[in-house]
Amino acid sequence: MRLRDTAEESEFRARLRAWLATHVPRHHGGTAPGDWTKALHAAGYTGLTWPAAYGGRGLPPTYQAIYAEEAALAGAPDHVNVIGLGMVGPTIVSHGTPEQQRRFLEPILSGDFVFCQGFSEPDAGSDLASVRTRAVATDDGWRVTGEKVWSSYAHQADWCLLLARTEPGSTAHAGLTCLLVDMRSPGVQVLPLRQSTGDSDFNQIVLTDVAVPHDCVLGPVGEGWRIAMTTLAHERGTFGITLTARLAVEFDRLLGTVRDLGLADDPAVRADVAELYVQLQGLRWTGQRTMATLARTGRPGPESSILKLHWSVTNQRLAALALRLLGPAAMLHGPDSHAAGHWQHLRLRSRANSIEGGTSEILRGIIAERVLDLPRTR
Amino acid sequence: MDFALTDDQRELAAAAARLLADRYPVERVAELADSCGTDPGTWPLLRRQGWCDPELGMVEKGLLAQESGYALAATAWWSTVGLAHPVYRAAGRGLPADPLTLAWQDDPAGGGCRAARHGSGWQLTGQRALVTDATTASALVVAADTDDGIALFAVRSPAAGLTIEAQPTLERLRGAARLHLAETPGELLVAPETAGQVLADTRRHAGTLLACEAVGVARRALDMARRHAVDRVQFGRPIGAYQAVAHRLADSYVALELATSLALRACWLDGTADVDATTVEHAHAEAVIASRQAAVQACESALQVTGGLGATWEYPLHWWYRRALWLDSFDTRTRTHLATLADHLLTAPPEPAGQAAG
Ligand SMILES: Cc1cc2nc3c(=O)[nH]c(=O)nc-3n(C[C@H](O)[C@H](O)[C@H](O)COP(=O)(O)OP(=O)(O)OC[C@H]3O[C@@H](n4cnc5c(N)ncnc54)[C@H](O)[C@@H]3O)c2cc1C
Repeated sequence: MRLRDTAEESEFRARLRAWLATHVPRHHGGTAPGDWTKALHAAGYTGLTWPAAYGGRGLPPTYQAIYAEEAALAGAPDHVNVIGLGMVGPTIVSHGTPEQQRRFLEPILSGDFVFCQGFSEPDAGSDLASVRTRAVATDDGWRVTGEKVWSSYAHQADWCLLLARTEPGSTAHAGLTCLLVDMRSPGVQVLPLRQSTGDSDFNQIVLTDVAVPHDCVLGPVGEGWRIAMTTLAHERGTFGITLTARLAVEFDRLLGTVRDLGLADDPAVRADVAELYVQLQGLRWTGQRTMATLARTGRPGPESSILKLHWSVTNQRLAALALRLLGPAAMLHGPDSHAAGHWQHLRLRSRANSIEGGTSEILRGIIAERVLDLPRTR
Repeated sequence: MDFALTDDQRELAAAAARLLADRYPVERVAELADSCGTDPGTWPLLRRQGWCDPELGMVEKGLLAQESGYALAATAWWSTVGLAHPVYRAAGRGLPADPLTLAWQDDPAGGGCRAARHGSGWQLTGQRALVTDATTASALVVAADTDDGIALFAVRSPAAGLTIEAQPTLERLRGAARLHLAETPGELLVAPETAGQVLADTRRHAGTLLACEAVGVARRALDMARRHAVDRVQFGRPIGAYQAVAHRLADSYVALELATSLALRACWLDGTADVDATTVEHAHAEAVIASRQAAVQACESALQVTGGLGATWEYPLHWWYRRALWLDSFDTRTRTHLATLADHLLTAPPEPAGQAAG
């Protein structure tokens, strides 16, 4: 057990920090979606933990945690590449053919392929296994027709990891297949959806007879559920490290707001802030335990199942506390509002934290079933 | 960074769990608690298994504390290793082989304890309260005021003028006692120059072990609840198949894992050289806050999930709940720990030197 950076880790951290300090400011506002990833890649900061054979650096998982912390501190524009680098890439490493690995992994790392995730549908949310988007076999592959919703960054994506029903008449988990869909294929239509914050980061994707060749089937036909679960495991597990690093930055901002508003001596505020800090520290160090288990055994331990769930709870509490600090000024939402409306935005946005990537109810069910060995609740 | 137990640490914890499971089946825990009993028979076994080894690391001690909480072991191990040994170590003394404890808390009813020179030695007079495992201890470390400030003394038990009065307690396996001392001979262990600091460090060290113990209590309560949720059938299904039950237990699990991480981290920092004192102190506060929450929450959820059974004297869960409540209240209050953290987080950085003047 060693709860501090090794000499190599500190050196990596210091270099990364210096690099971020010069490069993050150049990428704020208005650059093309893959540009940040391209810059990261050129500097050797993508695919830190991917095997060297797939263009990664083959470093232990702790380096990914250092990256997450430093990138969050520096305010790196990391959102767009998260799906490709954090979820789809590792899924292709686990389940792709050698040809797919050659074709997709390098461009994901280099920012040439931005990915989105097309799982949810109007009638398949928590009950993801009821997807209806159907793929019909053709001589060359598959023809896909259906509708996906809530697909983050689909409007900026080059590719989509899509879950579709390939076996007519099948139900639930059987008969599903994961497809790699070129977003520029004829028949793909992306319609932005407006979020409650007013932003448009997620989309509806309408697919009409979209041709997907054989070599774009990820994993065996009919086993899409297992493949999709690999992607979700990354989203709900180790991605928690990145989420926690961002939460830590929000927490520092909260401290700034407390001081700016002259509330640093208010006993109730002090207790709330300290209590929140304990939750943040718990998440941070549980994330480190997850990384250590991953490094040793190749898979995260059961404790990883709490990360996304408790992050969402804590982020929501933080946002609520911050906005309440503002008092009546919380209602102002414009250029003259405190911190340019940051807390107003976060308060609204944070409510989706317990929905995106699996709702808190679904995640509690997973802990109950898989970790606590309780009977199925559904 | 490597936040994982070593194989040796894992084995140590597993061996401890086996020993305690053997010594303390649940009926025995209930029987001992029922009779406010102690179990001196386990002490030699613990010593043989290395529980009191001076070289034992802090993470290792934390693991033993976790297992003690899980089993609700009726031993004076924590009082001895957590509270008394650090004082002997600070005094440069060898560690006595028998159970010990530390008495430093004032009686809420008033009355402290004073020490005065008597010939070449010292005599102590007054009271100390809320002393844990006092009846089994062969010697008591007593904090007493001298003309130069507080100092720490070793008092043998029994001794002239020493009475140990058991105080009725909610939690019955660790107990609390009031000490009455009347010109009782004491041997100076730590002189006033350093005694204040030694006492503070000792309380922190012992408190970090209690955070680990609380993790063990939480884990046991969750285990009991989980077992019941699988076995108990209502409306034709095991009650664990109802979300209101399952999700409650999932939340206990979340709190348990957060506390586990923070308690182990606090141990590691406490036992590692060249970590700055404030980091150790804050990690301690975080661990105590999180582990108290986890233990109380796990027990209360378990009480809900076990229904009427959990409300009975016979169902043993309440013994763990009582321990959780003891842990939640022993020594420094949660709000004081929160205040320590708030001070650290919200105290404005000092003015740059040179600007403050004028
Ligand atoms: C900001 C954001 C980004 C997203 N990005 C993506 C993306 O990139 N790709 C993608 O595929 N999807 C994405 N999603 C979709 C997300 O995964 C789904 O919204 C989520 O899985 C819930 O599905 P739903 O919206 O249909 O809600 P529903 O499943 O209808 O759930 C509604 C409510 O009912 C509860 N509920 C449902 N079933 C049960 C049950 N069995 N027991 C108890 N409670 C239940 C839920 O917990 C929830 O509170 C995103 C969502 C959001 C908000």
